[in-house]
Amino acid sequence: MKGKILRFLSLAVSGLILLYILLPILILIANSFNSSRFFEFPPTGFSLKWYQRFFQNKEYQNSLFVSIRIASIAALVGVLVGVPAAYAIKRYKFKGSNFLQAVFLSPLMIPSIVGALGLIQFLSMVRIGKMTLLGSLPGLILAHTVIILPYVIRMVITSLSYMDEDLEAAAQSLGAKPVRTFFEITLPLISPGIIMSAVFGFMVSFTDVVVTSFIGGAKFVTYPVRMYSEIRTEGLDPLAVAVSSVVVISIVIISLICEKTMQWSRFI
Amino acid sequence: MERKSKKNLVLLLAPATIIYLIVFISPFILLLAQSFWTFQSSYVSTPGFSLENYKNVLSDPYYLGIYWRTARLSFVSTLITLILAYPLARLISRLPSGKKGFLTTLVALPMIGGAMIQTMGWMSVMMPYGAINGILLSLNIIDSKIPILGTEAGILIGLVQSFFPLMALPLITSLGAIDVTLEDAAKSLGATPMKTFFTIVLPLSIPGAISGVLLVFMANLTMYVTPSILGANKIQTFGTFVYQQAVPVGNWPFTSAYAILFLLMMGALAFVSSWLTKKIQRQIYLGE
Repeated sequence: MKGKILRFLSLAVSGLILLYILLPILILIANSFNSSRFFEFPPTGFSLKWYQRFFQNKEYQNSLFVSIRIASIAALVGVLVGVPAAYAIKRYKFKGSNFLQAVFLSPLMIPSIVGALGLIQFLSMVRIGKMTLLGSLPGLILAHTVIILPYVIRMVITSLSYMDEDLEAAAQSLGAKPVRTFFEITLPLISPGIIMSAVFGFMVSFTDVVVTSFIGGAKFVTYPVRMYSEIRTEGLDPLAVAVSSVVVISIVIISLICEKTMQWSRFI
Repeated sequence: MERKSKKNLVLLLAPATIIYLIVFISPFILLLAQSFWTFQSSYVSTPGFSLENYKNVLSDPYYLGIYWRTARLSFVSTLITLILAYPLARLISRLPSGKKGFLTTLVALPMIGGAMIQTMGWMSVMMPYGAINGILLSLNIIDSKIPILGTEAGILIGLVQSFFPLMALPLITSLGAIDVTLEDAAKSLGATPMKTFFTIVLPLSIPGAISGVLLVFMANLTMYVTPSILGANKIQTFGTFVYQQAVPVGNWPFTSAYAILFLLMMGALAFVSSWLTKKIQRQIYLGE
């Protein structure tokens, strides 16, 4: 009896904590269907009008498009650059490989706001023709690639260490060249890890506020930066809430699919 | 190593190394250099070697106060996060793998969804007509609306939730790695659940707890979106102050010195805590 009560109590406490963790997302979605302009509680009526307005609003669509474009390119570059680096670190035993791994993962230790402070100064000094890199698309993509790379390298290293190295040795002893071994044995086996690192990298870039608000300038306003500056100047807008609900629902669905198909919770 | 595989190695590492050199290492060196330069006007400074910026920071109670407030908020928020994450992580770590993965994904959502979306949700909850005031009023706990936005309490509520995954994920891993038979053995020898927890589970989960505490504390120290929005521009922390000085004001030499000093303090803290961790681990595993 006492055990049962304890078990019930621990379930109840855990449930409440989980509710707290998910509360902002749940409330955001609930509010997006609120018919009133103001965020009264309890909500006053159900309506889809904010969603309708979103589909007519070009500015929000544009900033979502800017975000998707930057995040896709950065995730692609991140994977193209990060996978070879992770493979080299994990499979070639060379002097300084530990040091190099520490350097590659170090942006995770250095606060991104300090990194952004260095970047804004550096990019303002690099000139191509008359333009500085500050506030340009290449500058922004480079910066996002560096935010993503440590995650990609870490996730690919993890999936390489889950993989059985003997399979590579077997292929090579049967006469396969290293390049062929990589593409026919290693790559298929670690592809879930690579796909996950790309998806995760995309989300890290897509949701970034700090680095983008330092170096994005006025020309490339990504969706979260647009939300951020709007909220600071004009307060919370129901239209913005509806857009964010669409974004957060997509993120939840993608995360659950990744978990179901590739158990990504092992990697993050 | 043969020559050919050396060539391969260079080819594999070159792209990443070049990107890090350009976008991570050079900016960092420039940041360090800039902290000794002299401010001219917005975004313009003259190179040189002056300690003026550092003196400015260290002699002004306002600037030092921002460091202190940031450290204090981070400490409190880390402590609350640990207390809340531990029981949930313990429960999740014992579930069969399918359910465990599902719940771990839910717990990771604040991190995957990003700070902006979390903060928007919190803002609508904390507004004068929002859910918190609505519920407290209807339960007669308060007689009139209380301000939550723009207070440290509001920032803390948001911070704990935003960085919760950084604590819960390492805890789930280290609690999940504890051998169940150890606990069963203790119980079969007559230990109460309480005693089993304190002599077996808690000590073995300390490494996970320490790594969670470090991650959350560091993340809290450089918080930006949460204090800026839930603090309603009233409460300056390191992150919001650096943004204000670097972007609208454009005083890069001063901001660089301010950031370098902060990094030094963080580094010292990380050093001390890793030393402490080693000491604690030796005590647990070797009984020294």
